[in-house]
Amino acid sequence: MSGFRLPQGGRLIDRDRPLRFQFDGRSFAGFQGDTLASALIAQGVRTVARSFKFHRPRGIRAAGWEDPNAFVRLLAPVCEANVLATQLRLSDGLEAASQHRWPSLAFDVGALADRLRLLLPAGFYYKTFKWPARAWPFYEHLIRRAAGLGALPDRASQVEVERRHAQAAVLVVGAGLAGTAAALAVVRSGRSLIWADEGDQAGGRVLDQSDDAVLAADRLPPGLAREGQSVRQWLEQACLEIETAARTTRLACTTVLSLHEHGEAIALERAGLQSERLWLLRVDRVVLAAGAFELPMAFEDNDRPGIMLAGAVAHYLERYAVACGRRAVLAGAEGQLQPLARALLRAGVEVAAIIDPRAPVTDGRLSPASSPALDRVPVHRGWRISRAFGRDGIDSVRIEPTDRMATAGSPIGASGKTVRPGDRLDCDLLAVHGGWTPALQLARQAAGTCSADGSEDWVCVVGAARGHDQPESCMGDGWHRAIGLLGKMTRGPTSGASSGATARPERIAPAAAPPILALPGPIPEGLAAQRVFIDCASDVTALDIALAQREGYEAPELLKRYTTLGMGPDQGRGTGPLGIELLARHRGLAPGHLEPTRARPPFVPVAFGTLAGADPGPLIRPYRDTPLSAWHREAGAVMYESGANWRRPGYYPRVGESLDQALRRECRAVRQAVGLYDSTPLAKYEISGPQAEAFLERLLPSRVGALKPGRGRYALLLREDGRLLDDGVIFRLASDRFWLTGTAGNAEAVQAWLDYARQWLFRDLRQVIVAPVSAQWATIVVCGPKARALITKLGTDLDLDAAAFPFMAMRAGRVAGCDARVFRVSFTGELSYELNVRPRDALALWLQLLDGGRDLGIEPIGSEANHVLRVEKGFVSIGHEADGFANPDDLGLGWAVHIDKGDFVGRRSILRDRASALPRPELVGLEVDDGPALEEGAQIVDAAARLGHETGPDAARSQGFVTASVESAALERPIALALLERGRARIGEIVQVTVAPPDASERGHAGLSLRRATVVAPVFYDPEGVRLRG
Amino acid sequence: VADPVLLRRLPERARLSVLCPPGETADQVGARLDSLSRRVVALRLGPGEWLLEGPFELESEFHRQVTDCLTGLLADVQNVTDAWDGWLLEGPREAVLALLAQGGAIDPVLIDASGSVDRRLLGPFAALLFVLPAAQAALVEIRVERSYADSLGVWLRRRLGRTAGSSGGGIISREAGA
Repeated sequence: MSGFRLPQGGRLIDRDRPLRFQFDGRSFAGFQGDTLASALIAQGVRTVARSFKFHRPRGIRAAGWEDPNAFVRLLAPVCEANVLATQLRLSDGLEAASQHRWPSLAFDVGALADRLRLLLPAGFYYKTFKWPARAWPFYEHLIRRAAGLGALPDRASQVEVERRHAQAAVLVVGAGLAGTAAALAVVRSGRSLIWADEGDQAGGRVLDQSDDAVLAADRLPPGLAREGQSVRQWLEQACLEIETAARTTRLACTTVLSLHEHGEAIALERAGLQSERLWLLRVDRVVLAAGAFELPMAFEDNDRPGIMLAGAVAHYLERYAVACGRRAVLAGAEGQLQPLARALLRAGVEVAAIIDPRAPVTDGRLSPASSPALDRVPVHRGWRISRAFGRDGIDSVRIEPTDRMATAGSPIGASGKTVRPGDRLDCDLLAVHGGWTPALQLARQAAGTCSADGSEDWVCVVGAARGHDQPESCMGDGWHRAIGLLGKMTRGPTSGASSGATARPERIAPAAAPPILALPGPIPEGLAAQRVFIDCASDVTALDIALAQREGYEAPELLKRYTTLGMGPDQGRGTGPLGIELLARHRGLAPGHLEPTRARPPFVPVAFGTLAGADPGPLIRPYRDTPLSAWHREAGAVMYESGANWRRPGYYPRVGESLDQALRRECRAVRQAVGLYDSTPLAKYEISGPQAEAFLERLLPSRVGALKPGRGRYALLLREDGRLLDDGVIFRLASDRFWLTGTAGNAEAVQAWLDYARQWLFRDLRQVIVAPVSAQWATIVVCGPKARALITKLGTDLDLDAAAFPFMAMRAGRVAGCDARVFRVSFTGELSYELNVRPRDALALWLQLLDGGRDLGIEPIGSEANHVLRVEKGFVSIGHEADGFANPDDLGLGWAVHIDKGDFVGRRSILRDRASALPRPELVGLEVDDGPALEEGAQIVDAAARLGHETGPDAARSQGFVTASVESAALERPIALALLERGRARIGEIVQVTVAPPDASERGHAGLSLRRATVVAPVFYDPEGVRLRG
Repeated sequence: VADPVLLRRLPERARLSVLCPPGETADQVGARLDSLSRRVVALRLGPGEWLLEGPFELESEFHRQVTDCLTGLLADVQNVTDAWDGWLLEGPREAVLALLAQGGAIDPVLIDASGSVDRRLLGPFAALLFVLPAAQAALVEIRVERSYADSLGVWLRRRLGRTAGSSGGGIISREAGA
């Protein structure tokens, strides 16, 4: 044996392809197929990590996701923190390092915490850091530095991530014997299948066994296996049949992360270190054959490197030809450990003893059916491990009788050798088997429970998760239960996912609860209990569990939060049940009485980059362009995302021009000459039909019936609670046809609201058609006192005279050679024409307008200038003043509500608000004497208020907030709009407005100051509206 | 290495939206639309909702033809020629499926059924998939609202050329003309 690598064997490694890798700067050798864990064990590396709280040395304990400690920092080929060594496939040149230690893994200053652990029981933080209160920032700093395991990589992830969707009738999770049998049943039924499993080949725990037993065909469903077929032969044949089926999607190296209602599952496929694929699955039914996790055992210092799960020892031996030690002690149920003992002996590992905590039977030897090779292995039945010794690696264990009274007088050993309580057995490997806990996390995510019930609906648990541990019983269970599940599928093989109403998983009951050997004998009390590690991921000890129970945290969910049991990276997969059982024991309850805590997705840790998917950076959201976007970009516009994924020009800075300078120039152009604004994203709808007018009368608070064709009015869209959903204009195009606009950012919400109104609120009005037409009209706004002159100059068949084409009128005609719908509406307070043309004509029209307006002083303007201009006019904006809480009266828009016209959506709520004496926030203007503009979002408090006083006459209670604040180009001073409690009655009053410090994001509320402002009317410019009607 | 998937911008077509109240009226509208010229493709998008496509050069005639066809019925006909745009994917069935599967759970039956329409989310895009007849390859049109077309193009191109994982059914793709 070279190191701990056996000279032959190893199902997964390729000895012809040696690899070099580094761990903590040291160079090691491994083979293609190794995991980092197997390669490190093969090289004799025992300590790979330091524990989270006490910084105790930890080794590799398990072979899968249940390992609580073997997290490393991957440095090459990709940079990633908290990578589990048991799941990290070795590659040539791989570099990894231990984490959460300083300065080195061997000498970690943090290990001082282990010396002080008596002072650091569960709840230590809650009890200690609450006084003095002002010291909290200091404590927070310390805690933040101590928390966490790995350091974030200093560069972006190089892992390529792909997102993939798939659908199928059945998802089978797990490719052990039960999962394979279930998948076979699905394939033979002709239904589509997605078959996901952690491993790259099917077999599950069978792959950890060197024996290949012949199946007892008479104990299997007819036709499932041939007479005389071995387990591996059956697996090979079954996999071939499943994977070659036409409608099978086989996902190897894939972890199902979560299971949700409506048959949705999310899975992560790993294709090497640099490639991942996130699967979003839609299925009708799920078969969970996820197996079971092996439990460790509780005894003093049970966390020492060299103490491993028995299944993991078999795993490394069979798959990677790695012996995890040279002299082993095995602890657990004798029958379960016999195959491992045989395999270890064959590998040349000395088996010092088998310690079986169960009550003694016969003579302490292995059962007569066992291999003669095991004759020399001492078996101590009725004994248990009470303590492990050795610091950086186990060197011996102490044993005691499980039940001191029953066995103290008759210590029995093998080969006539007796042992006494307190005897120490030398070993460098302790393989423990504390029983099994079913892997039901996915079922619990899907709202399952673990109580007994036989019913099943769309999630079905099979195999080891139900307590089956024999090949035939696993296969039979998977086969029969999958057929049962398929029989309940009433729809065809390609039907969609189950409805939410029926998507309830079965209540899961392990068929036969396996013996719990994880807590053999009495648990030490007092100081010794603090060396009994229940959850190695979070360093939760038996003392912590006892303390929590004494302090009243008797429910598992409370215990979890108080002690952090199961809250580490392993999420308590293999240890959570241990803590719950210990709690039950403290409470005097029977084993299994307490239900485990709720499992939450994801099942295993997932990088944020994986969830973010294949479109990082600005591509993470789609974007929308107008027909003019390319021109805007070419003209140097600063483009913003401005709601509903639209990218719009914010402003058009000239060379050397600041935002403020550009804004002033654009605003001045609109107030003094003419501006051009791309308003294409505006939401537009045509509402037609014989009952369109009735529909709109019920929907809108203004009178629609009074409109003549070609005329329109300002329109509010109210929710049933009378609050503003959106605003726009409504025009009558023809007797039975209307044009409704809304804000761009709210287009989808308004569409949904219109559909809701048509299909549900007013379903008696069936002769109405709502057509969304936003995308087929590009909208260019020509605004400013010279707008009429510009359009006239370009040529139009419309009479633009104010009398012939007044404010709030629309005309259809030709402008600059383009067919257009022209609306006289204004959001800037100036004479304004909204030209709606075919998108294909938009660029040509825009260029003609720019060209024609050059001598008139035309400027293209962006949404920043548009914002300034509308604030000057006191026009409300959805999302600013209309914050989801404001009603029309609050915003001074009561004139747009014709309350006596009859019922409409929101009428009752408005009447209720008007009848109420409660003060409402009302739209006002704010002016400051000097200094910069107020901050949008700043709070308004009483003039006498002083910060830091929460009660009394000086209390700084918020009375409103600043909704919009700009530097007015027309007035040449800062102005603001605000929603202020009883605001209209307070015009002329002085109030105070909060001012945040420059580093507000760092300091939270600390450092706020106050500034005085005067409440004024909300219309700062042309209050009579002469200009826009001109 | 698999055959490439080709990506092309959809050719311009005249498009009309037809909306009507679902139920009996929709049945009548559907029957009349069936009687239109073979040069018109009518995609039924939902109850009382169609997207009609015809030759671009006959846009105004197309609109008149459909409006006349529906005379007497409560139906709204809108010219939506400018409202839609999109991309055409052409390539081996498995490769096209694998590419589309990055955006949604596509039923393979869809690809095999020429003329089938699937209105769905494709990645972040509200899209309309339309399968065209093709002898050897899969030919799928992806339509989105015009404002999203460029963004969809970026989304699709990003997925072209991506090598397959362990179960991906390899896609080695390129953009037409590239």
